[in-house]
Amino acid sequence: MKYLHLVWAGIWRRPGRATLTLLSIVNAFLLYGLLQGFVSGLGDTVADTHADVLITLSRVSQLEPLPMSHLAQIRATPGVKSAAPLIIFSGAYHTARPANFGGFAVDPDSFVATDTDEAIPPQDIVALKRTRTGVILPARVAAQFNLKVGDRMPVKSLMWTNKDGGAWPLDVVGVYASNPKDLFFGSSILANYDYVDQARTQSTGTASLFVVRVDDPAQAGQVAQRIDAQFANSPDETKTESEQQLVADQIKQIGDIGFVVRAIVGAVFFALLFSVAAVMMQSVRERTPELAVLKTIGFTDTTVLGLILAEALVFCLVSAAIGLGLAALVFPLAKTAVGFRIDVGPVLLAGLGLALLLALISGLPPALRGMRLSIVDALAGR
Amino acid sequence: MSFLRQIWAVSAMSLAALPSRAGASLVTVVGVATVVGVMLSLLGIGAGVTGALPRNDEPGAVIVLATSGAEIMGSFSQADVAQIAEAPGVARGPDGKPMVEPLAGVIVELESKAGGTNNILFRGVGPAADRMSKHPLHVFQGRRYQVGLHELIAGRRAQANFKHLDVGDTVMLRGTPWKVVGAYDDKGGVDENGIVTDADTLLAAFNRTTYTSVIVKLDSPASFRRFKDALTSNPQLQVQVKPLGQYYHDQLAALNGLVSFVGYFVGGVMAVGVVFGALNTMYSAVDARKREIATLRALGFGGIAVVISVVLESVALAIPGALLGAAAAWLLFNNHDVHLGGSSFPMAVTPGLVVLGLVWALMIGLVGGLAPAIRAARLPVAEALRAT
Repeated sequence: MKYLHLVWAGIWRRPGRATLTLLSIVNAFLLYGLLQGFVSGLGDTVADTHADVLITLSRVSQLEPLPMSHLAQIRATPGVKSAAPLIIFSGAYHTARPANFGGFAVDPDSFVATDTDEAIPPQDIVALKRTRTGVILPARVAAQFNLKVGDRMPVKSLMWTNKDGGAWPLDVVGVYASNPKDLFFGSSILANYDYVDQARTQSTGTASLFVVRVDDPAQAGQVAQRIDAQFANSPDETKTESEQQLVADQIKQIGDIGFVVRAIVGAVFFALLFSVAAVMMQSVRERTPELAVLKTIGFTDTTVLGLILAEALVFCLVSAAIGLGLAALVFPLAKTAVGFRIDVGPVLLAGLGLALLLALISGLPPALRGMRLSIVDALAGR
Repeated sequence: MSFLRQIWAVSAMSLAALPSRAGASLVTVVGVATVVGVMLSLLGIGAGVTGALPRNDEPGAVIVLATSGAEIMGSFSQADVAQIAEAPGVARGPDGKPMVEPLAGVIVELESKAGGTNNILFRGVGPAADRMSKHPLHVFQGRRYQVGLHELIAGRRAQANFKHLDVGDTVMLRGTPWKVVGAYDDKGGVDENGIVTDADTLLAAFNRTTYTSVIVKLDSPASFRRFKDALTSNPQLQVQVKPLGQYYHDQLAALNGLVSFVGYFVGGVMAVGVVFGALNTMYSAVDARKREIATLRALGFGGIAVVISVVLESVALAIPGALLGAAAAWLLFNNHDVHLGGSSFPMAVTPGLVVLGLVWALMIGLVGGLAPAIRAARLPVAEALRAT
């Protein structure tokens, strides 16, 4: 610790070069923080799913509807606590600049029974039951379009055409706080199943999927098999998966994001390593006489090694901290853009670990050189 | 001494001395190589997506879709198709019948060769499909499906991505076995990642009565407005009409935009970092040549010649870096299959992208060289000559 001043002075010996190097490290860690934060956010989304919730979809594909007659059989399956039919109702609001949002048409009572987070206020559910064309909005969507309870909201569904004119004239009956822990339902608009099903031009009498809540999360696997077995070899075979599996699959559908991010981060740090190592080496070479003087006045070889390594460590950690700090500042913005929560702690910790590694690899060769310096040769300029 | 000869002499000197500064110079080369490599790889995904546009650019071919806009979500009954066929501007075939082709599309899940399952588009087309397209699907192996039988043909990319799609295989779809009787290609278009059968056979097998979209050939591209107005003003139809080429383009535009944004964003941020590294390299190069530059100045060489020589050195380091990065991107990822949004595309590191990489490197070299160059030109001669 008592040498900290010396270390600090060594770092800022050439202020211009130090600043440029600092900026390039800050830059690399900012990029790392952003990309890795995004990936870890996806991972958290998978981890946040409910253990007692299963999703029953058509085995043909996720977009193939299932007949409503399945619902009674699913409810009667041993181990099933409740089941709810849903129609995927993603759409866009008719404004000058339409923006898409996720949505579902739900049967209010059965949906509440499967909603483990109880995110929807009970009075909103009551209002939705009362108003056939009602819709409950997540706060995010309500704020985006400046809508409040009582407003008319004509929605253009990405999937379903209204028999009566194409768009869906919905009435806002409630607004709920978006639930960032729930990728599927946490920020979706919720309309009435009966209204959408009867007014759509096709697929009436079907559901896009069934949400199933089981009695015992430990038995979820067996319950899923039992549900699928009932419909085996029928034209409408089902595929029942845990919410977690489904979320993981959906993320996989986007592409192998993990690989892309690892490749980019790897390339960035490869270049950074070169750059920092070259700067450290050059700095030690220029200071050869100074290091020799330090040794002359009694600094041991190990202390000199330690001084140079400490310089690399302090420099890399400070720069990395700035870069990661900047990334952490950007995360809240990113959260509203991508719509899921990002837990920054582990990403920042891993980033500091990376900085440590960077410092050791780039600092060790010049530190060894400093340690092996012979006083006489160095002072003689040989 | 002429100005150009001055530049030439100073630049040649600085470049000749490059090997003595190999360590620091390598930083720029490696830095630029990684920026260009990463950026071209990311943009190569976008180029692959664009390259996968179907080649059906037949002028006058239009698609009629549900207002919701998705090819597979429409609902057209036989009566709807008949109404569309009677709209003004529809071309007539040699047999005098209107050239209208209802399509049926469903998304099905098949076992992926990479493990697990993945979505694939199962398209049903009518007998007139080939007449409608300038480039009909080309069956390169096996034969076409027979109408009424559960037979299908598989696209080349679909065969590469999914199990059980080789000619002769049987694949289970919605509880029914389908025989793969042929394989087709489509000049590398995105339609190669699909399976195709007869529209009515598909509808029957999937228990449906309505088609999902309708392709129409117009008598001339100029009839588009007339045809579109007739359909959109028909209260019995809730449809939108788009030229076929534009529809396909719109489908991929969003994906392409996102991928390009990521590519330019990452490339931009990385480039900023590398500029800092290049600045460092060039400042130390100028430092190392302090006395040499002062001597030249004392001999009467101009400041501009010195500036240009330093910038040239910086660019000379960046360009090989860019070529290295482009070569790495090409070797690693050209034609590499990338899975994106449930479909798959071969990445394409195109010559255009390589040129973009070179431009990027040139910018990095210029920005990274300019400030050190100006410092070099401003060195006080007397002081610099005394420098050690």
